[in-house]
Amino acid sequence: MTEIIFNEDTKRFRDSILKIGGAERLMLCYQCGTCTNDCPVAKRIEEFRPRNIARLAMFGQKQQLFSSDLLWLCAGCYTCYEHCPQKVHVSEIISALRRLAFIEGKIHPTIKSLLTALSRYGYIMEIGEFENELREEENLPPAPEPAINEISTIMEKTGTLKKVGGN
Amino acid sequence: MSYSPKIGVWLCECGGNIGDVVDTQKVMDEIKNQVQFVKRERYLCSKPSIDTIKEIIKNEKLERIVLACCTPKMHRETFLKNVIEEGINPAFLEIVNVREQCSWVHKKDPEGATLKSLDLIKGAISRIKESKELHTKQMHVTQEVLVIGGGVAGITTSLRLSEYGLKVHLIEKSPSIGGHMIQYPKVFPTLDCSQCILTPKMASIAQSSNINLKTYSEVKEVTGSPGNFNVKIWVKPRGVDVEKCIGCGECSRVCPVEAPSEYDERIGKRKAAYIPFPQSVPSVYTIDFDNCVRCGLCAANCPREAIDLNDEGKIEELNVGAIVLATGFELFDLTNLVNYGYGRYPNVITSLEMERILDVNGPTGSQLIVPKTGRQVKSVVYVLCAGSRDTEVGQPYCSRVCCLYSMKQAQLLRDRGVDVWINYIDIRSPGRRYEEFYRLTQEKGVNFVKGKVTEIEPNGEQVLVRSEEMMLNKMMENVVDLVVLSPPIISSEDTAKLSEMLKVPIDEDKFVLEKHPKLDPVATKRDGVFAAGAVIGPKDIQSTTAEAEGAAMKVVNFLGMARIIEANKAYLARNELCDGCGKCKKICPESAITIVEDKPVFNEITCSGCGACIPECPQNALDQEGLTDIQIQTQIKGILNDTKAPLKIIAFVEKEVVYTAIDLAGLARLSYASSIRIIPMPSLARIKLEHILYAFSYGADGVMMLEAPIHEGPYGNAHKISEERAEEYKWALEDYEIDSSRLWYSRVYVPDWRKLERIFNTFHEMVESEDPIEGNQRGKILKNLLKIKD
Ligand SMILES: Cc1cc2nc3c(=O)[nH]c(=O)nc-3n(C[C@H](O)[C@H](O)[C@H](O)COP(=O)(O)OP(=O)(O)OC[C@H]3O[C@@H](n4cnc5c(N)ncnc54)[C@H](O)[C@@H]3O)c2cc1C
Ligand code: SF4
Ligand code: SF4
Ligand code: SF4
Repeated sequence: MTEIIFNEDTKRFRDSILKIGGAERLMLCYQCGTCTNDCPVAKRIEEFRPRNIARLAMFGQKQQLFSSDLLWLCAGCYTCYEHCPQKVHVSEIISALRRLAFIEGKIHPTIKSLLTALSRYGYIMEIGEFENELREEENLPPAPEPAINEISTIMEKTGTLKKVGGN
Repeated sequence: MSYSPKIGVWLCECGGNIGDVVDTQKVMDEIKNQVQFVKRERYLCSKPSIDTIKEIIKNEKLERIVLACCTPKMHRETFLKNVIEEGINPAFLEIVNVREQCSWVHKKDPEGATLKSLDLIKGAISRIKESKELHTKQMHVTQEVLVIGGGVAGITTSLRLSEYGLKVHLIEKSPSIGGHMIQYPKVFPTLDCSQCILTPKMASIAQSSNINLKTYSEVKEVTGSPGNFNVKIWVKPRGVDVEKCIGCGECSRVCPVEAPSEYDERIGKRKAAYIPFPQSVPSVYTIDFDNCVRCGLCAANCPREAIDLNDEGKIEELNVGAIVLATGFELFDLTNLVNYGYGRYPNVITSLEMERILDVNGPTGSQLIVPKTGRQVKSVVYVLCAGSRDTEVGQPYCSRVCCLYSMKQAQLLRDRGVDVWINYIDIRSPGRRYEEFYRLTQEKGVNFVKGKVTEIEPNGEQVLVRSEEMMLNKMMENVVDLVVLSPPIISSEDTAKLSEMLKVPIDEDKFVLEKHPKLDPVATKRDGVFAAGAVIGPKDIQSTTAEAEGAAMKVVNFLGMARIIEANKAYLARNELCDGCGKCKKICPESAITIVEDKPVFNEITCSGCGACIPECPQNALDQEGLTDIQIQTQIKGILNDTKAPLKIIAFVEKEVVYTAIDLAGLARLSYASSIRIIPMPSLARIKLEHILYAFSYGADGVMMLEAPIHEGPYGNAHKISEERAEEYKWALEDYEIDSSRLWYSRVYVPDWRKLERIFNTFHEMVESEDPIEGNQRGKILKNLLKIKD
């Protein structure tokens, strides 16, 4: 079991979460468990507890939050956002934490590969003939030409590309 | 001035407290020629000194008295009592504070302290010349009380008032008094029988000759004013003459119609001719005309001929001096919380329904069954905070009693062998004997689960309840026979309507707003209207009763005291100028003004004497007893005329909160600039622009307005107004070529006294750094002022 540690770093980390739009109400969490109990991911993955993420965030426990896959498991379904009686919005807290993790380069491999694909294909996956055939079956037009140049320029200028190991 | 009264001035040295700093001899020399008599005392408050004052008043035939000594908060009452004994009217005593405001704070500047003392005394002398006799008044107050709501709060207040000998009109909208409490079999924390303790009280209500009990009645209209309210009561059509009915129940026995019983939370049934429960008070039947089929059987069978199926109800009129609101609470409609399925699943019920099921005389005949299916109950989940503490769909506040009553019900269930789970976010059991009650509940084997219930779904004849089990970090699925929800306790629509009728504000949460949440918790913002019990917020029976007793005391106090009216009221001084624009009515924070035939009429009980209406009048038609415009003006003039002080600042200060802070600064021997000359005011909303202009024209270099915080102190409601006015005054000063920074406005709390040193010094330095105001500029202002006056 990792210990809960309090120091200047944990304080600073918490403050940086609170400054991110949508995450301002973090400190109002009264640990009722609504988010966890309604979360579709938590139902399947025992370690994933939105309530615990909020708790760790309140205490600024960066180490614990960043050292595992937890943050990246949220499906972004917004159930917890809708149900939280205190309007803490754990989904937003998780987004905020992901942002902070990203800045530090702590990015989940799946996200990394998605972003690499994005820079390369303009989509998070390559759209080939097979995909377009599938679309046709559903009466959809072929996928439009992606703006690969613009996307990769943005990703380069924002440093995203570097963070995910591209160039 | 044609008449100049004989004035005597005393100067106290307070041992050395004043005398060591202020040159009292010099002060005496300076004022000698202005008054009849001057004397210095070592200790003015000592018995011998007071006796001397009385002697001299008699011998010298003095008419008005100025005492320069410590803060009036110390000895004013003593001095006043003694001079009154010598026939001096209270208006003719002025106390000048030369200790807290002079010697103690200007120790390092004895010369400044001396000049300031002199100026303050001069100010008091010129003001007292303008004073007029003041008389407290007697006012007619009806010695009858209206109590609205016959729950435990209304019952308790009514009994106490009737014991005191007052006539009480108790109005209850349902057919019997008793409120929610009469629905419970047992009450926490003692688990005593609720009906056993309440029924005797209800019987006393019926028997008291001082109580006029009106059940099945509602308040329709309230007019008049505190001390003298006119009330219209709507006695709803009941079909039964309450005087004739002997409660034999023949009507009910023959009545062919059944309807859901309100008393049994609609689980059980009653007839259309009914009594809510056997111990109802009054013991009188009611015809429910919504369900009655007018077969006439009841009327035919009534041995007393008490039934009239054509009853149309009636209006009755009352005149009362005071009103107590005790309309209690309602429960939040749980069908709003779709995830709990209340109203859709038969085995999801409210806590109040459970109270009825647990009653041996309840609608399930003392069986523990799901009312709608008749299925035996062997396991129960309690859902705490089912809508309370919820900013999303329910109510943001804590309903305060649900943790405890759920534990109460859980204990009763455990005693009958039922498995009980209580799902909670936090268990709240503060209060005497309540934590012990929690422990007892644990001892009885109730399972406490930390984790809010988020979902309930049918599971065969049972229900499945989902929550987190936080302590173990696991999800929990619990299949049980019955779920009991604890809904938020909310304020009723009726209360909202009454609050409008009574002009009593309610808070954001719709509960009645207290006059002061800490210091005056059972008075409302309106004089003469009090409140008790759940109408002021969720609470248990113990607190309800305590409030009810308190409200009774407040009423007695109000009816007795209100007859004496302080002479500090606003009044229409220049009737001919008033054009009936109604601006004074609009601004008055106490709603003390009504416009009758195009003129303002002041309710002297309600008027707090804050003075806010006076500057508001565009016609300059209003004034205030004991604090007239001319008194304020001459005091300013007296302070500033012929002063030798190099820099002069007039500080108008709120006379309770801020004045106390200034006294405390003195007590702590802080040190600030001696330029500060203080004039106390009720609220600074009393200050007119002309007062500020007079100050500048008579020689002030700066003016301060130190107001108390909003809602603090006796004039608290007016404190917001002064802030807005100060802004206007600043702009206006610029028109007179006075820099607006020469008018200072800020709020001072009592604990702020330490800051006063800095505030005073900062302002002093700021004013000092400005170029002086030229004499001709001051002259121009004065000329202008006098022109306005003409
Ligand atoms: C399920 C449940 C269980 C509880 N158990 C306990 C317990 O065990 N112990 C405890 O200490 N507390 C308990 N409480 C709290 C307790 O009910 C309250 O403290 C108490 O009822 C408050 O009394 P009241 O007189 O202020 O209000 P109420 O009991 O609500 O009485 C108000 C009365 O005013 C009448 N009224 C309303 N509007 C009008 C109108 N417009 N005109 C005329 N009359 C009107 C109503 O008909 C009613 O008779 C419980 C509460 C609930 C919900
Ligand atoms: S008393 Fe208990 S159950 Fe009721 S709202 Fe407060 S915390 Fe929730
Ligand atoms: S504000 Fe003045 S003029 Fe207007 S109604 Fe009141 S007293 Fe009369
Ligand atoms: S504003 Fe103040 S002084 Fe004027 S009537 Fe109202 S309470 Fe009285």
